[in-house]
Amino acid sequence: MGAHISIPMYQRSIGQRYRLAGQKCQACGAIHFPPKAACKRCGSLAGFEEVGLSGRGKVYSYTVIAGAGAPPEFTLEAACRGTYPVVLVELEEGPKIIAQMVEEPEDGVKIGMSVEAVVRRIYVEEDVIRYGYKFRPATE
Amino acid sequence: MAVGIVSYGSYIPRARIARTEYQKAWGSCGADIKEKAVPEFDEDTLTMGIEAAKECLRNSPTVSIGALAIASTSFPYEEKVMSGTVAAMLNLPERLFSTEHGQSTRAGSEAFITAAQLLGNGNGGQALVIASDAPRALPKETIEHGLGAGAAAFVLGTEDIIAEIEYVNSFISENMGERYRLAGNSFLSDIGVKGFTGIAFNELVTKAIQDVLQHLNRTAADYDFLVVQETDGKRVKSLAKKLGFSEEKVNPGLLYAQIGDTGAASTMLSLAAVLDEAKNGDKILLVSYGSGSGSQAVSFQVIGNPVGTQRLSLRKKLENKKNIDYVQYLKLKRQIM
Amino acid sequence: MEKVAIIGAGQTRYGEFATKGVKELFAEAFIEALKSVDKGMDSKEIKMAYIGTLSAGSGFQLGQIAPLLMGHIGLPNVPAIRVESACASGGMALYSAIMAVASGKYDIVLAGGVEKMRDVSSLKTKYWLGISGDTEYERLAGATFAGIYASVASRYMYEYGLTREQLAKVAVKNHKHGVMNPKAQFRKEVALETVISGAPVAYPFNIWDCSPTTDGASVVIVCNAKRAKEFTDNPIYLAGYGVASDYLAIHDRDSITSFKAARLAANEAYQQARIQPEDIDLAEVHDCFSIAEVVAYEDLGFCKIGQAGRLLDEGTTQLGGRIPVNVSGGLKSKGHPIGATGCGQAVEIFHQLRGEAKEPARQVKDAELGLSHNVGGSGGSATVFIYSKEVR
Repeated sequence: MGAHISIPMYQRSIGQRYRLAGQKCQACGAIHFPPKAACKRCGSLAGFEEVGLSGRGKVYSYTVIAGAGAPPEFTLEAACRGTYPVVLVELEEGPKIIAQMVEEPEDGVKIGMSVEAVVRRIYVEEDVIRYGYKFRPATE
Repeated sequence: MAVGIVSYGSYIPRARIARTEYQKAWGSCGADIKEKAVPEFDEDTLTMGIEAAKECLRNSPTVSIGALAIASTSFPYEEKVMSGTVAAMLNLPERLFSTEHGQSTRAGSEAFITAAQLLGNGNGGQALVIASDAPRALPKETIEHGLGAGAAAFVLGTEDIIAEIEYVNSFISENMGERYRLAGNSFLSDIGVKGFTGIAFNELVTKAIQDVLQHLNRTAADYDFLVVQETDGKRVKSLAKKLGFSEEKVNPGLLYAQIGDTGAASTMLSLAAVLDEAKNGDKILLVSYGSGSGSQAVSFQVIGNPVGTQRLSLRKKLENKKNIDYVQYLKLKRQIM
Repeated sequence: MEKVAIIGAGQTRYGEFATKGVKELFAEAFIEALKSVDKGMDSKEIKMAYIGTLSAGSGFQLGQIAPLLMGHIGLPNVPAIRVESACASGGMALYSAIMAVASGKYDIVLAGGVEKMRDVSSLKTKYWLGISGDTEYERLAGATFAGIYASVASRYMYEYGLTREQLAKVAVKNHKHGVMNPKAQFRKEVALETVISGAPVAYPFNIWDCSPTTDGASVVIVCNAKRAKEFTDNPIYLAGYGVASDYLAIHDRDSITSFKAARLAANEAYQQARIQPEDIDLAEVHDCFSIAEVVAYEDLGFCKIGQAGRLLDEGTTQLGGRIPVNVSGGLKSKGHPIGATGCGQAVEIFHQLRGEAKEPARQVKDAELGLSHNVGGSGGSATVFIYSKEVR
């Protein structure tokens, strides 16, 4: 039913999901996440080398999803958490990425706050647990 | 060739439920906890184990993992090789001696000892041990009241050792012990006859300790720390006293009152807590126990300076917590959804 | 390239129609479009069709819905293509029709759109809505479509100080306009206080910041300018048309407080029409969410960057203001049947420029140049059309 991500499809992205595997352009060194075929900066199609991203970054923007409106994969989690923040994070290596936030501070998310990536359960489908990254306030 | 601990890490999930919540819900709390730890809805024993492992790897002077041993009584899958997932998350090589241990709360030490033995056989490199648990029982069962959550991880190696493994042993017996879980059940059963079941614990832990002392020609006084499997708030203290281990040797490893029964991770977490306080020359005796029943002992000699500068002690980490109520607890433990 | 005109346009009411499916809705819009051709037109003149729809009837006919619909309206052998670009499906259908005529190959082409969103449970609708962003990396981040736009709003408010109150003025204005539009889904005014205190959806949005789910269809008949006068003395001409894409996921964009695709499309259209933003007399813009209209003011050059809030405060974009925006009620009040929206905007401008807005109170006086702005999802694609009363 629309927008279903199969197990093989999910499997193909576990480098990104499990350990934030990014790409470094072999021509100009620009870091990408998630992967692209062409470098966003110099356009080169020459290829990339894998580079593990630290998971550290700053909140560039955010929203707080009201539970009732959560995407179907997150209905149970939303029923548990009530609402949850989703943050657009600017990683220290440059790329931006969106993910849920966990352990959000009492006084709410702020643009500019430091965060770090953690591995959590994203959802379960076809009896397979799909793990991936989320962000929590940086511990240092 | 000496094998020992090179670095360690731990993770306790942030959510806590207090004893008072159980009292409100049931009229009393059947466990000697002040509070206990609860995994968030999107956490499980795998993710907790990864957190502990990441800290452990960060604190290791070098990283060259050739063996992996993971342990839990509540893995997210009952059947699936999870080492691959762990390796993918921690960027470990695919060529890895990996073993996965479950079956009882003794699994943590089983993983630890197996990994140490693998290194001792000259397989070289280092081993990563991860013990993580979050056991479950039906809400109406008293055994449920004390079940907590947490994970610990160790890098074992033959160089840069901070605590050397001097001796290990293992005992088993056919005695039901307190708890068991038939295949296909997610929730623990407890035969509920404390006096009878306590015998297994006392006998097996005592045997393991006495064997160590005999083999190494030592007495209780020679040890600076005693770590024993915690399944409640009293047994360890009372048995330790009987065997001649003073309170200050036992207290540093007691975590039950704060995080609950952490199953296969119990002795591993207690070991991490003790390493936070141990100094060069200290001796640590660790004894695990699993219902059904079995025990294992490991004797350590601290030869380095365990506490790194970048680390927060486990007790300090426990201060980062957020209390939840009983309804939220039931949701997080997936009892009502 | 041939010059292009619109000789007829029609649409269904937008709303919830339990008794009508995509075929019935499409037929209704088509018949109204035909009727709107002043001197009449034999439907056999239509030689090509582009139909925009995202879900293809809530998923029941993902393959070849275009021939299905064309067969239903008596034109089974007219080549027909389903066009998909999420919420810009209609705009892309119109763009395709224009290009087909501009190429000289076809004289008269149908552009339309249809969407049936109210048949299914909200759970299923969430799926359809959710697939307009980057499924792998946005939706699996727990971000709903509203959440993506809400992140845009968060950042915009952070960068330019836009207030919750200013943002709320979009809904107030568009609902006020919608009252006067018989085709609108919602025809009721709403007070600023109500908009500000609506039930939360995705911070900073509440329900009043979000356009509804809607059933509806629209059809536009595009014609080579050389033949337009055969059919009507008052064709409306496409003075300029632009289209562009951008990275689908907002995390790949350089800025999230402007939709580059819309900017590029607008610049292309303005250049072709050889006009400036100040020359526009009315605009139908893509207010799928309140912030989308705010950002549109800037992307379309109606004001400087960061100044959009001021336009709302000063009433500049209200009916009667310097540049009326969404006098139809916009997506918020008129409704947003995804595939139909783009052509529906053209229907509105067509009637406005011909001075025949159905309720006289809604008529923008002396309008010569109109603009419609249709954006796909969170800005992955955009079309901008500039319409004029005279050939340019």
